[in-house]
Amino acid sequence: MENGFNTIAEKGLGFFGKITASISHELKNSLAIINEKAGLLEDFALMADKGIPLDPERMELLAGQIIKQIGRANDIIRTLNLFAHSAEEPLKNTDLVQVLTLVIRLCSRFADMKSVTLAPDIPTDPVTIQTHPFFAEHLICHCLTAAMDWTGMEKKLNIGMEHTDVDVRIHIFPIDIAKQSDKDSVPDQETQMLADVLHARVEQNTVSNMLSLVFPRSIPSGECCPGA
Amino acid sequence: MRILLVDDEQELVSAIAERLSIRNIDADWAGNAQEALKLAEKKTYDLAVLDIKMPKIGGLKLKKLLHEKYPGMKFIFYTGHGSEEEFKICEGGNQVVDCLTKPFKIEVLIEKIQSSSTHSSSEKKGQEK
Repeated sequence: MENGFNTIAEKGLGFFGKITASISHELKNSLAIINEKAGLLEDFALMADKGIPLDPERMELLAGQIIKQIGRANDIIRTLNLFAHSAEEPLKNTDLVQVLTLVIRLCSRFADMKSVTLAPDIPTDPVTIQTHPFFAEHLICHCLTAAMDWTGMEKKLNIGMEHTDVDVRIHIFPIDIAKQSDKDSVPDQETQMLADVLHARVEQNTVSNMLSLVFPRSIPSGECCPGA
Repeated sequence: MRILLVDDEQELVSAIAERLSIRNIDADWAGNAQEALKLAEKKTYDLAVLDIKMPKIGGLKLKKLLHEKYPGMKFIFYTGHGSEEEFKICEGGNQVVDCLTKPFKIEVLIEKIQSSSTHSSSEKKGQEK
């Protein structure tokens, strides 16, 4: 299992890098907008010095747009903070709804880039399982981003969650399984390793065109995760 | 000189276009590649300023499409992060004037826009040799 843990740790670092790079790109967009809107305010102030009257409505609009971008940037930082802290969390009781919501937020930019709509329909109340949050995020994100390449004409992925006393299932659908190649099918090696570490399963249903991640409610003591 | 700006962040691209217009630079903007191609069919643009990362058709693919139709058009790219891979694009010449990293000062963009005419004449000189 030691080799598996090393590979998972290595892949986990790659996953952390991919997500933080994407988040920093999003943040740069907000900063660039604030930069240009503030620049416009400066331009209008210079024009006013030359006798061109200021338009109060336009000033108010620009100020509102800057405030909106500051709120957007703040949300991005909050998401980054949640994600970063999850990497230092041990095996513990975890709200899988919160984990899934975070992953959907983290993957939304990848979906935008592929023009895929993510349509979550998940419980609002907490669904608690014993797991390692960061590895669970990695597994869900890996499957969700893979599924983005297998959408149908509609380019939409529904994301659902079912739970029993024994396990919790995350469903991603519809996927066109025929679009999978040998290289990018799931479960691949990375998915399988993560699933093994979390005692989870990744299943594909060719009838309902559904990719499902099945998490156990609890993991036998001492059997999960490096550092746990 | 007429400029075409393309970015899916419409609040950003519209503000840049307005700031260029205030400085008497004729600039139109589009929120995606399809809109940009439609605009380019209606008007002649000397230079396109493109975000590298956009949904569906990114800046690099859009450059290819525009270059095929309008070989004289010059290009400036910009991106959130100047990765080595992204900046390699700028080394290749082929009508690419420069790459900028967001956020940038409007004066820097104007300097690059102005240098695009020099870029054009130096390229022509190179071809004559």
